[in-house]
Amino acid sequence: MLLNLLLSQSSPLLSNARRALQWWQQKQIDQLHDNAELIRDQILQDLFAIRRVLELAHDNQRPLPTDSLHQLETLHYDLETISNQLSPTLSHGDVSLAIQQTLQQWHRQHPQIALNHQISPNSGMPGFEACIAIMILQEWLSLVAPYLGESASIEVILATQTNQTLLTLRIDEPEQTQRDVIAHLPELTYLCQAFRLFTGISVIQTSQFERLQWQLAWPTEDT
Amino acid sequence: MARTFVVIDDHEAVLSGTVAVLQKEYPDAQIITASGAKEAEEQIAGANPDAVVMDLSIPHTPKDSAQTETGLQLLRMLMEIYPTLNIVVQSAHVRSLVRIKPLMDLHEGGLTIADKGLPLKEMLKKVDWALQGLMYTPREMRVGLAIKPEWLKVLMLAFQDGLQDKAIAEKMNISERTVRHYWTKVQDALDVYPESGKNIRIQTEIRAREEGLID
Repeated sequence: MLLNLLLSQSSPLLSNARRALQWWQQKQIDQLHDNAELIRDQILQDLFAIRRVLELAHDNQRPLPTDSLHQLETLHYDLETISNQLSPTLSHGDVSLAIQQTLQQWHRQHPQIALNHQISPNSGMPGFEACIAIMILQEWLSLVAPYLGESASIEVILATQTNQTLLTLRIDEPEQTQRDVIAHLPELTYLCQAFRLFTGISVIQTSQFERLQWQLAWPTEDT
Repeated sequence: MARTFVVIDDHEAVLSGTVAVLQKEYPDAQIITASGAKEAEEQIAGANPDAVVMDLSIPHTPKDSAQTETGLQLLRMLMEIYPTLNIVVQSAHVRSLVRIKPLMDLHEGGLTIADKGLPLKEMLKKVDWALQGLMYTPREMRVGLAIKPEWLKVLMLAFQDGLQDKAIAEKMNISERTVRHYWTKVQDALDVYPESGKNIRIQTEIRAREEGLID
């Protein structure tokens, strides 16, 4: 109730609360980024050195057992994945690539779900908002995935227009029951409210025929 | 022919591992090491190396802490001062290179990216490609198929008009070296790299047709 009241107003109270939340969120992002860098700058380096010593110690006559190599590769991949998840990809400054990587990573974990994406390169989304957008996208995917039927598909579109960047999240779900469940998930409402609280931008949710759609629009940052 | 490499990494174990690998593959090579950006600049200026193998997360001097921005800055500087230098970026931070991808597209020397998770053979392949003047960027660094108009022109002149590099250069009013440079860039964008027993130009034509770049 209080949240809805707050969101419906553009008061100094809301403005102050938003600044405080953004500051807090940025702190969390920085801390996660530091942890990710720790993995990259220490653990992955040590792993690299161990691997090269092992590879060099074995030659064509005595090759390193395939199992050992595979285990090392898996360990490296897992650590890299954890680091990628911890660190906001946006610290590298490219939201389009960050969204693409998020989707690819998610799809590797959920290969059974049909996922299409159209990502426009070089979107002009401001850094903080873009960071939040990635978090929203990750959360949205994890919230809807358990309720998708076998014939459902997801589509993510990032489009850059003259004055704004549009992120569209779509679900095409032929099953009415599943569609209703997803459309009324309370967590999705919280997610949209949290996004609005953080950024001041509303999420427009629509449904038409077999399609559910959420759309987020940012004013394009001047470059 | 004895080659010269400059290897840059601030982790001693990584540095010695990379040097050992290169020494085994190129027994006659002279291998110079640097643990920071400042030392690397001096070594490269003095050695005129065949290739530089560099990490991105490095300190400026041994007193500083390692930062990806320092490595990116060094890479920018190297590409600017030595436009034909062959460079292998061997790093656990390859995604950071997205920030300077437009500059990398302009570099005329070999430029390959080797994630530190790569097996030894794959890493050596990236060194070999850099020495051949090729470009290799991992797919995770790219969004979609980004083809510059001048690269497309080379494809069309070669595969639609059947022109050779010399004729393409004349037609586009550029040097043959620049045509070769465009080939490496477009091949990287199309994920076409040297493969034993395969003609790379024919592979490029097949991929370009698959992507609908040429009729």
